[in-house]
Formats: sequence, structure tokens, C-alpha cells
Amino acid sequence: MDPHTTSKKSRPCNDCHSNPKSMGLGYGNISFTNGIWGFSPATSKDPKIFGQNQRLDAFVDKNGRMLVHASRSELRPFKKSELDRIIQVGLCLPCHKGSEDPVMKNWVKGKSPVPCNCSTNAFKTSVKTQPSPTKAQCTGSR
Amino acid sequence: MIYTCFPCCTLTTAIAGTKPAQKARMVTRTLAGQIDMCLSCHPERPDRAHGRRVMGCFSCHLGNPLAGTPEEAHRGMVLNPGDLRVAQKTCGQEGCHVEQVKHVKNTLMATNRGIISTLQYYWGEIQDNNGTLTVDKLLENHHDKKGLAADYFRKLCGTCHLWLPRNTLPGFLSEKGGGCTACHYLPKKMESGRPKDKHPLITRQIPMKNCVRCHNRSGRIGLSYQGLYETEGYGVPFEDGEFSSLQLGDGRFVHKIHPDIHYEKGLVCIDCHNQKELMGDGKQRTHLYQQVEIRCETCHSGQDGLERLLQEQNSNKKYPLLNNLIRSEDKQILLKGKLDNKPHPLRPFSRDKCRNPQHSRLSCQACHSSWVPQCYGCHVRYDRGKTQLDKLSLKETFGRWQEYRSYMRYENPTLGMLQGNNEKPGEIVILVPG
Repeated sequence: MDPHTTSKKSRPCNDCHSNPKSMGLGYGNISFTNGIWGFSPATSKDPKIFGQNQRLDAFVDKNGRMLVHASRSELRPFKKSELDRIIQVGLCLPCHKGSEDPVMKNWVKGKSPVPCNCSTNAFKTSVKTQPSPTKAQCTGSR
Repeated sequence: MIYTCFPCCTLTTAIAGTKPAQKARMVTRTLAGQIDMCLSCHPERPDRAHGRRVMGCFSCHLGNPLAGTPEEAHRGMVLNPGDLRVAQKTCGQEGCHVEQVKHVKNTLMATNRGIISTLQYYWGEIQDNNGTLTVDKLLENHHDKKGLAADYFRKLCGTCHLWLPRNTLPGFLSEKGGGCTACHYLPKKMESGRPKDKHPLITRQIPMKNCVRCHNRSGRIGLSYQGLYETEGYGVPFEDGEFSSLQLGDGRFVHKIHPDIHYEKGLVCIDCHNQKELMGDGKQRTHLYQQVEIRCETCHSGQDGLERLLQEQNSNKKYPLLNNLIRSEDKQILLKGKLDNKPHPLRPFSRDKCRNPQHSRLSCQACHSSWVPQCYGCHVRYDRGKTQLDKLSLKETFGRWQEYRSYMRYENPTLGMLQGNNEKPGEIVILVPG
């Protein structure tokens, strides 16, 4: 649908690539551990609160399982593979801001660079991370 | 026009009881060639295109323009010529808007086919949401409920369609409906010191108010466009700790936030949405997305695209995509506002940002829609022991529906995928709960 709330300025990159709500996961935090991303929901799915065993703000879970049906059969939330690709970009955004950055400009679909240590700051998690490429290594790669 | 003295006639005023009976002083031959004696008593003055000396009264309101008594003259008269039940004899008569009246009966605003079939699909009454049940079919058969979905539609949704007779439902709902009049009606501003003339104006310059009268629920498009966010029922204290002061006619509280940029620039609904989208081309469609033709790219794809649109506008094409393009003195193509007559520049989108390969599947709305009302936990309660007004039959019938929601938010939209097919590639679009 078109919500008819058009603004001249578009949403910033991280509003889609680092925001679980925009991806359809609902309110919460994305973490990145050992090369795998995880999601901690901020809302409850307690049936005593909402009357159903599902969070109201989620269209899809982190495994790409569709949680709600749309009014059109051809409409769906993102699949797991799509979520992976969206989040992969988000991991690099804290340093490689905007479409003019060489990393973003030369991003090849399906061949995204391995995220570096600095990417964990994007999600403000305190989760330990495995050694991964440094910022210097990933900047401008490809 | 020929005015002939006609002193023997003893017509009385149409507003029986409000004025003393008077003799008809003249007969009018209208520009349409019709002898019309109604004008002898009726001082009302419609708009110029439907002027009293152009059309007379009979052409639109029927009745008998040659009768000698008011009772005879008013027999078979219709107050609202735009009502779809009579529109074929009035607005849609030969020489007037024949095609438009035929076509409009097939549009979604008249059929509500998408709403009904989606409800039936949700209730598991049909296999998909491409049903064929329409408002006029439901109107033909008041006693056959055709399931819970139809009952839900009759009780809660049945106020926003063109078949609804005007001034029949209570309260704010009375202004809805009316067929052609639902959109083309413009109340006349009363001027002091002039005879009281309540005859409305019929206009092609549809004010936004007429559209938003219906388009304010579900997606809340009419409200969002103006930057009106519907808050919770008690009026959330957004205003320095005070409860909301803005309230719609139906009692809902709204809070002013940033509107659509097109609204800020002065554009109204009909500046973008064309005749074919609104009044149809005769083909009956099921869903809104099948009827809407205008896209962001229509106006914002650059000079070449606009040149093609201007050529189309100036050609004999029956339904040009836009009909309000103008060329400025410096050869630029601009959009002329249909209400404000102001030229609006049509700036092209950025090829670098909007057409880079990584984002080729993004719809314009995915990035440029700044917020969308999001209604979580939308649910209804059905009480079969209580009654509720059936908005189609206008009778109280058993079965009462009540809507609830858990919470409402205005936030950046959630995105998802509209899967493509052989004809159209997939697109990343906005998903809205509710």
C-alpha cells in the first residue's frame, strides 16, 4: 500500500538494515555472535496479555517463518535468506555510511564482505564475538 | 431562452408550508429545449454548468414540469439526482453523463468488491479473496445474510459506498453516500442579505473533504495525507500533558504530525487520481491495486516521461493518465493544481540513489513513506443476541459487531516482499498490520 505520508528525504540506510521492526521481526534487539545474528524480542507473546501465543508486532521470526498472513497471497514478509542479506549490510553500516562509500557502492549481491569487529557496535550488544576482520581490512574491500 | 407570461397557472412553492402559495408567472424554455414551469416558483440557483436556465429543475430532479398543481409537479421527483438508483434517468440521461454513470456502478467505490471478498476469505467462506459479491447484490437480497462476513460488512463497513442514500444514516454518517453526489457535491456558501438558497453546487473540482469523508479508516490514507494521526480513544495527552484537542466528526481523536509532502505543496486527491481510477472504465475489478494507475514514477521520471504524458494528454486518448499538465514559458512541464490552479514542478527522482542495482526492487514507498499508522491486535467481538443497524437495509437486525485493538503506533513502516510474476518483477513494499 501507499500510506500517503511521502517525504522528500528517504529513510536512512540503518532504518531498514539495522532495525528489526522494519524487517518484520518486531520490536527488539539484533545481536551478532560467532558470525550468526540473533534477535531478542522486546515484546511479550504471553497469551494472557494478548490472547494469542504470538507477538503482535512480528510478521516473521528469525528463521524466516511467516507468522501472519497478508490480504494478498503474493505478499509476504522477508525469507531467512533475505533477512540474512539485509542484516549483513547493517553490520557494516556503522562505519561504511551511505551509498557513496566504496564498500556499499561495490557491494556484490550474494558476495558480501565478512563483517568486521566494529560491526557489533551497530546493535549495541555486549555479546562476545569471535576474531574477525578488522575495520581496516574490510574498508573498501571489493 | 424564451420567457412567456403564464398567468393562469397556480403553482405553489416547492417548500410547502414555508411560503404562501403563489401563481406561476412564467414558463421557461431551457437551453436544453425543455419547457420548465418549476422555475416560476423555485429561486434556487445551481452551478453554471447546471444553471437554472440551462437545465431547469426537471432535467435533474424529474417530476412533472408541466403540471398545474404542486402535488402533480412533485410526483416522482427525486431530491438527489446523483443517487445511483435514479442516476441513469438524471445525471446519466442521453446528452449528459451517460458513460460515466454506467461505468461508476462498476467501480470499487460502488461495488466494495475487494472489501467484501477479503472479509469472506478471512472468514473462510471462499477459497481466495477474489469473490464476486458486491454491494448492489447485497442490496437486492436483504434477507439472505450470505454468512458472517456479509453481516460484518452490513453492520460495520456498509456506510462507505456509492449506493448508500444520502441523509439516511444517523449523525456524521448522514453525509456519506449519495452516488454521484458523494463526490461532486459542494455546499453553497451562504451570503448575507440574499435569498436563502440551499441548492448545492455540482463540481468537478472535488474538494479533499469529500474524499476523506470515506477514506479515513482502514489504511487511514485520507488522515495520514494531512498529517493526522489517529490516537487512542481517550485522547492521548500529547499536547503539553493535556488531552488531544483535535477530534474528528465521528469522535476519534487525532494528533497533528508531519503530512505528506504533496499535501504541503497544496495538491489534493484529484490532482493525482484520475477519472479512470475514480469513476472507472466500465470494467469491474476486485481490488484497489487493480484500479489505481497512477504511480510515483508517472510524475517523477523526468522530462522524457513527462513529454510522453503531455502528448497523451493532448491526443484524443479517452483516459489520459494525467490531464492537468501544462508547459511553462521556459518549456518545463508542470502539474497544474486542479483546485488552486497553481503550477507545481515535477522533479525527477535521483537515478543514482533510486535506481542503483542493489536497491532495484525497492518501491518508492519503501524509502519515502515516513510513517504509517499501525494497528496491532485488531480484533472484533460478535454478539448474536444483540441487535445492530444494518447499514444496507437500514433496519436493526440481530448480530452485533464491535471492533477492538490492542495498540496503535505511528512509526516507520515494516517492509516485505510483493512476489513478482512473468510480467512484473518482485518489489519490496510496505506491510501494515491491522
